[in-house]
Amino acid sequence: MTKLTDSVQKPYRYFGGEFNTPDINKPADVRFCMCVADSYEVGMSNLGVRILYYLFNSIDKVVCERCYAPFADYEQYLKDNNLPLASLETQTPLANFDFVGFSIQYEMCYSNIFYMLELAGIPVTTAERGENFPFVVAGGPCSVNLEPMYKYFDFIFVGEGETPWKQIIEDYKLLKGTMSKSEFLRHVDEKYDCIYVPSLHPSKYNGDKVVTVPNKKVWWNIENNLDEMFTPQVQLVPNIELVHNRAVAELFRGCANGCRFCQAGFIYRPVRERSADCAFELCKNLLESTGYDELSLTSLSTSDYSGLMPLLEKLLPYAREHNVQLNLPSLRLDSFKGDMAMGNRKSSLTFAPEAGTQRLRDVINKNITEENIMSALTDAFNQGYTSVKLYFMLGLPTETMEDVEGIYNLACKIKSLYKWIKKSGKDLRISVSCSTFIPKPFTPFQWCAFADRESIEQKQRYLAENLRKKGINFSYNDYDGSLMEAILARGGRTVADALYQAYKNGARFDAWSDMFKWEHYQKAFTDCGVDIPKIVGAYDLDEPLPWDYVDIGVTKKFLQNEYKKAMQATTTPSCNKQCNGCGLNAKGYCKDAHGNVKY
Amino acid sequence: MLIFKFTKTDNSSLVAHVDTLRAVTYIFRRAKVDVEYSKGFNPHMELGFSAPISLGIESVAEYVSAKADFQPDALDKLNANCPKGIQFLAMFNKKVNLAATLNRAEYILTANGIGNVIDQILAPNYTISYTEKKVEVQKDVSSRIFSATRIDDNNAKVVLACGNANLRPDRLVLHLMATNNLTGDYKIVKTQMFVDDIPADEFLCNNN
Repeated sequence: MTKLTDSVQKPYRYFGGEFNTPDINKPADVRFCMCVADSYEVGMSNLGVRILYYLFNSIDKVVCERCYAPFADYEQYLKDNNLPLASLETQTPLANFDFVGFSIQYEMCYSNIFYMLELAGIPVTTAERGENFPFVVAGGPCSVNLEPMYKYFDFIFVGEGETPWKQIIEDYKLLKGTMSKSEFLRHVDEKYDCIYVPSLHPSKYNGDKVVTVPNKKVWWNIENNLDEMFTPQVQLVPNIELVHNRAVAELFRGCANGCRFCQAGFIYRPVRERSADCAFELCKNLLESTGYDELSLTSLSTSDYSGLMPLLEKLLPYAREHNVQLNLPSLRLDSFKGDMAMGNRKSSLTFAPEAGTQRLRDVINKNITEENIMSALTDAFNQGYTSVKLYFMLGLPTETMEDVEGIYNLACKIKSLYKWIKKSGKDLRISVSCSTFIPKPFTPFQWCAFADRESIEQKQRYLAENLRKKGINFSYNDYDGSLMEAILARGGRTVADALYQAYKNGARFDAWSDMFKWEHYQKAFTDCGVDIPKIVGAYDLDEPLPWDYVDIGVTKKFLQNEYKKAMQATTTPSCNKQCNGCGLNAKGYCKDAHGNVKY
Repeated sequence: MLIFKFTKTDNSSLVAHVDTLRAVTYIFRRAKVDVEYSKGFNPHMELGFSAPISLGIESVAEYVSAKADFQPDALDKLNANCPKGIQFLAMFNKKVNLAATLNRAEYILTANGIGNVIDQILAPNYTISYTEKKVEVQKDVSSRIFSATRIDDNNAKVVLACGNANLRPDRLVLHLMATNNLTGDYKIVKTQMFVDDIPADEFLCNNN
């Protein structure tokens, strides 16, 4: 063991042994290895993995273990000692599992999938694996468009997994040994509308434009009842520090606001809330079973949770009594009330106005006004907050220099507001962070072009110069990384070969800005003849899209209308105010009144 | 003040000291063994640990003090809430600064042939070399070595200084292996701690 500790940093991350690990040594007919193509510290915070890990392990004769992407030092250790990549819990090589499943939360981890498979000695393509290797499968938010990875996965689970996954695993337990891998793939393809077997559904391209999309309509699975759905009341407690070292309780899924750039806001429709009682029980159980002294209430927009007040009435006294610090991320400005920030440490507030002018906020349907922002911040400053983080996007559709100046002006106004309230003492600590807008599938902006390098870099320069003069901290994303994400988000099958090539050129851990190298991809795209402008440019509203085979329940017509309204800077109200006819109500998914909220 | 003796073996031996502090805090919280919290701006559980050991060294003699009243069932409650490799072995009721007081530790060293060369470390002015922050260091450590015994060819027992004047057993082993051309992997287990010549458990039992 000690040779290991001499050569590998934090070796614990490759061996696990966390408290709350389920019974991994029980007799098992089905073995599933749940993988996250990122480091242990990042992957352990993945809520989807946590749910499926406990779900699979709760099934009789099924064992689920985990594996994360190793860093270069452990990769070297494995190679030096001739060891294949193995699961944490029992150090079983990945090739010995029935399933190797990747939870794919963001596009920039694709290269790590190749990296992990090759370290495990598993061929990367479905065709090369044949009958002899595990099923390599995928799920997670990126399953709305995994066409860039179509030839590497045997099947892809599309949507939320709690209910169907259990059945799929039960099916496999029953059928294992009676049919070949390819027969099982045909079986699940026919039986489950949320399963996509790319090899069974060909697609035709002309250059990098799709002509014929796969012939199966794949349904994005929606879990209908969060109170009755499988929800683990425990959480693994790692012995090393994670990115998020705390208990995490999910309050609701979906978001009523319909911001037009936000993929999650569309694919996770409609709003489905946990009742306040169930949410409190969940919080309490998670805290008691983990011993964590920090709790994060999570959702796409926590302050929109209609049960927040009844929940906090119980949770605040509990937290005080047990020395627990509460975190409420994803606050929307318009619903932020001073009393929500509560008696906790008044350190930093994070707000995301996303755009600098009202016109552009109307285009993206971020329904907040400057007045909302100022009144929320007035409350916050009066409460004692001394630090503000602001998130914006650059390169949004219809954006002009005036909108970028708006970012600067807004930051300056907030600074003077603080001075006016505080009169004396230290200056407000304020930081502005600008990411680059990336058009994503299943949003009204899916047809929009990704901004060109010159305009983005010019805007970044403008903000960097002017904000720094005012003592405002400014950070932004590197253009190359955003361009890569744009290609992966909207690419089709024609980029698949180049992605593997880029991995061979050395790409891995692309989500880590210090590790990402555009050269690896640039060379691969050139070698494979990928036409990047075709993929990241604007699309016609009526041309076929590579991901058209997926049905998220929101109609294409609705998205097209939202696109047209955006171009006229017309807003669409929140689902809580009125039904806007996105398609889910018509399919019977909105049961409760007022946009499906409970209280 | 309660003092607990615990193990740090198996997967938990791969956890760095700073992470162990946090992991033990979570164990106390899960076990609902009440410990006082500090009253400052960032309240934290009032725990104090014996001197840290290097990553990869297993131990069956770690100590933690907790500002808490005597709780008869504390050991059982803690042991029901431990991750793999941590186990609570004993509880004492005494007020003591562990890191400053427990000043020697006994280790079993395992490596090919180490038992046959362990005598060397008892030489006067025994000096080891190691790299620290990328700089080669030569250090006379004879004053920090209290005993060295051969168990068999591949095993030896040593008692070394720990705490403020510390000698890292892994540095000692690596130096011995390098100077004697011993190859292969090695293993270190910390077996007990002392206050000078008195075994720590005996010292902690004594209420004076």
